[in-house]
Amino acid sequence: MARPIDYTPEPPVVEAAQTDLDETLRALHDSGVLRLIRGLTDNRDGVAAVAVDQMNSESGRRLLGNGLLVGKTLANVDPEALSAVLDGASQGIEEAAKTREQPTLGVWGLFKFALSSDVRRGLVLVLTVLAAIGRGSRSS
Amino acid sequence: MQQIPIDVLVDGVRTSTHSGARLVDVLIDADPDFPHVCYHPALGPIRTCDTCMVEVDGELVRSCDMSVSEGQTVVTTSALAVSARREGMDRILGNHELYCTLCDNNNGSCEVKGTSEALGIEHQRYPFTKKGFEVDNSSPFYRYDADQCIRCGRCVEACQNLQVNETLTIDWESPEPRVQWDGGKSIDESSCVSCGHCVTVCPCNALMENTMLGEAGVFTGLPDAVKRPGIDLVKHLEPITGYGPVFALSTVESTIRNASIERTKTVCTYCGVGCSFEVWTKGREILKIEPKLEAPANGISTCVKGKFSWGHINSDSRLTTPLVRDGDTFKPVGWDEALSLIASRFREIQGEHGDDSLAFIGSSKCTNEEAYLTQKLARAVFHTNNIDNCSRYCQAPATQGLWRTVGYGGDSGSISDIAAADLVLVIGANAAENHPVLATRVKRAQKLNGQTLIVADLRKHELAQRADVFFRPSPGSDLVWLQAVTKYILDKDLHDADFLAERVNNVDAFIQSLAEYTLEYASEHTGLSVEVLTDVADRIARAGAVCALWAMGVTQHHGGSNTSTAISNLLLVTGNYGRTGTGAYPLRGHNNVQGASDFGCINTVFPGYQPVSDPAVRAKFEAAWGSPISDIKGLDNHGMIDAIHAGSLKGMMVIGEEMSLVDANANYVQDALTKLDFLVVQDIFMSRTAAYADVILPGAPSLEKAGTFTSTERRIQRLYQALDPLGNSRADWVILCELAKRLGHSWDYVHPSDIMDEAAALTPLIAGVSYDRLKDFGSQQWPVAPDGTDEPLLYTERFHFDDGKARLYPVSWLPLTDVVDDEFDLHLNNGRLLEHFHVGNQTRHTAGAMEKVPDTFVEVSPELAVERDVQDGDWVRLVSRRGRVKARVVVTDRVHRNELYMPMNSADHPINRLTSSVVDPDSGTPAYKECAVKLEKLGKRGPPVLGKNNWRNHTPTPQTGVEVERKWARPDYREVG
Repeated sequence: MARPIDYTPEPPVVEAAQTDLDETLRALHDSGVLRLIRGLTDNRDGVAAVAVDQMNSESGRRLLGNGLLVGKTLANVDPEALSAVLDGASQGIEEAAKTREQPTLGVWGLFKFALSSDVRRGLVLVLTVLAAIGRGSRSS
Repeated sequence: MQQIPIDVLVDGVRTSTHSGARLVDVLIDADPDFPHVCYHPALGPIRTCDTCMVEVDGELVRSCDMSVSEGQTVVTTSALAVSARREGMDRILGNHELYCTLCDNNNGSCEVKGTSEALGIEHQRYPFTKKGFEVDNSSPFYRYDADQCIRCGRCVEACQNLQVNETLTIDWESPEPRVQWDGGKSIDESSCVSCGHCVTVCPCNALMENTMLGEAGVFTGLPDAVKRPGIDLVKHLEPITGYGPVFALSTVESTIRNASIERTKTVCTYCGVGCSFEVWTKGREILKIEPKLEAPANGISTCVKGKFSWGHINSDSRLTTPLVRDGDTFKPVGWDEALSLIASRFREIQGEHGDDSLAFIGSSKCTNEEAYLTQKLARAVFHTNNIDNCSRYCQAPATQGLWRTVGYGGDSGSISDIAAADLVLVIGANAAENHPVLATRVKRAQKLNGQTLIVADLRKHELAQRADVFFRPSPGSDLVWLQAVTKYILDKDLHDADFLAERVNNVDAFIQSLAEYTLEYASEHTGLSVEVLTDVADRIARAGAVCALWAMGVTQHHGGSNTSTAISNLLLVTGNYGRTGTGAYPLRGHNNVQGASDFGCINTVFPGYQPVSDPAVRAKFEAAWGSPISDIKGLDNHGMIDAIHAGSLKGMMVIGEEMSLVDANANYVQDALTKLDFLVVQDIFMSRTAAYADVILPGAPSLEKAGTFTSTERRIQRLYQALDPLGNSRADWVILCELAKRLGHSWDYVHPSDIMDEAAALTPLIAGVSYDRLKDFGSQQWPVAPDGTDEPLLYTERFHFDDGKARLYPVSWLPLTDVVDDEFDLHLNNGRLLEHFHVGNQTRHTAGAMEKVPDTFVEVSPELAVERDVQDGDWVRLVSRRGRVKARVVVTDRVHRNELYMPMNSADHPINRLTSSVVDPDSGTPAYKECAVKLEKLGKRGPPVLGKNNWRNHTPTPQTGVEVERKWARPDYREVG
């Protein structure tokens, strides 16, 4: 006589030793990090194809070309020289910002300001760069 | 209409097509990227989006709305056409915020994104603005976001004219039109049946499955507080960068996400319609069901169960390890121990009590290959024909009726024939709930093509409400009106005399057998008027092509086989076999109840209905299987229960069958199960039957194994394995092989295709079936010749008898048993309902199904409710001559007078505690529908079982479709181009 048994099956038990690793994996899984890595790995060809496709468009080629040009230009510049120029530019921007709060210079004031050694040094620098650009554009 | 090959000139290129072809299809064939958004091949032209504009012979037209004709000149590249298409798309993008990388619909098939890319959209011409509606998250199955909705109306067209539930509309006259449910209700509290058509056809993310949200994309699970700034950043960059890099980024994300989403073709595991689709899984998580146009039975159609009810797959309640009875509990054991115990106990019983002291029940839920192995286990390993399946409980009488008259025990045509019929006669079948996708074809044909629908049923279910003629015969009297209608047609010379003369035998004897069935006799015994009977007869006789559909309302009667025969007789008399749009369609109730019988889980026949009684057939199988086979007729499943009580049946194996609840007179069945010496149950859940077992084996559901199912159309389809079996469970065919090996039979099948190859080689009915021919969405409808040729429509030239002629088969009426009297004064009808499958062992694990229908109930007519003073939610007890159950009342005019209806979706209050052990003498099928009860009030009231969130309590809003003309009539609408 087999009486019916009211029985609730237990869900599968997880080994305690695995807990830390499992929880870490779970967090990586839940956050989508594992999926992202797996997706990139599994579909690297597809991802690359999309990237190449996009870069091969007209705007993509421009973006790539311009990026390369900027990189090439920067590669030819002495970092110390660029640093000195950028420091000066940075300082100039700050001081220029302050001039917003100062009264506007008159004609005589402007003349005196232009004769200062700092302005003259700056002008020489800008004009030198402009001359180089002009030279470069003539030769190209 | 004949399709004539023609040429049209597309952008100067001569393009071959055929007359009447839709221009947009021709253009898509030529260029898969040709823009279109609202057009969907399953829905036809909707004409709302204007993205497919072209010039035809100098005139700007929608290509979806244009049929090609010889000599047409089509220009897609003119400035006018390009600008019109661009304008159409710009308007769409004004209604849809592009955040593809953070969108759950960014799966490579988003049509809004795809069309934007195809049109080279770089910048937003009309800024997106929110429409001011809350997202409707009310449904447990899907959600609607009006802000993302492009108002294309695909969902409305699908709801109105494909599913024909007629819930969805667009309020075109409103300042901000949107999709509406019943004209402005929430999804959950509307007439929506959650079939999923709208979600499937939505070209963007306005309608999404809840299971996809936050799960499909790599980043879509981020909280809104993170997502929103991300979307805003992209919107700021778009004017500078254009959409190109934005789309590229989203395509990269889509590519990454698809690496961890598996798309596996499967076949639905619920009713017998045979819907196939892809299931999308991420790990073990089921993301969604994705219907495919190429699915042969259903196309893009689904019902709530097939689309959304998959909670059983990952349920915590799944059996994941073998269990062995140990005192008053079950003890988890390893497979070796469980299988060895079964092998030794079955052999002991066999040795002590003989081969026929064992019996086996195959499963209509399992695959054909598993059905084949189940009967092979019984016959080749244990030498008994005590093998059966649950078709005995449902459609065996229909099979009997067809065997008698036309020869094959299956639907005589395809679902496409039902759709093509001029008249569909539905008898005792609630197809809209029990075969929902098949019913959509009837509803669509009636709505769009004027198909006549006649419904005979005790209940005014959905098809009855829609019918051109609906009548309620007295319970158990269908044979009487069918015979009377047939006689009237013959008497009035409305029959198909040529068909009878050329293709049918036994005509005169049959005509004589009808003498008693006059209209007056029928009226007296069915309660139907003579006018109704003659109207039905005239309509059937005058219709060009008639299909008859029937189900349990016919078969689960004392006279189920005879009534099924009478239906087939009527079809023969009116010449409705062997032509498109004709035939007999007993609607199979389980995904593979047809296959379980086809592959031999029947006590009298081998696979392909080859008789066990035939010595030559037995010899063939003995030679193939290397084992002697008994010539003793086996017990059917009802007979097995009797044999247990009689003491001759001692051991039993039940696979995937809730026998203790679904066999009639459940008290008698459960009592029998306690008397077995040894019971093995193989299931995916701890079923009520498993509670009686000595050993329980954890099988695997459909998504965790490969195989084939055979649908009601005789259509064999492959299901592919989407997931590994959960825990320590195993595919049922693997379990059967392991058990056979322990019993000395080397079943070394490596893959289910090996089993199919063996079955096909031994079975003429399926000789040409092979996995290669069934690949992907391929299918074959038996009989299948060795060269693979199948027969979607039977009897086009011959009926399946030696002389090729059908047989009119005289039958007589077997009146109702278990009749009402003064004490048991109400007739109880019973069956299924839409939201749950059968007793609910699978669907109860889907939360949404339980929200919609949490329990069983008993339907009481309004007039009876007044008489007995009961209201919705009142607990009552139903008492029959066998037992009693409790249920809450639902007052509804679906039933009338003293008719009650109770669905079978409860293990706690099973209907079969009430039903009797009376069976149809010709098929052994229980007379479930013959049950008299009394109703006792229990004085308690609970919440209504069918609440506001149930479609039955709401009224649809039928209209012809999207009604795009109302959009065009808006003052702010102007033509594109």
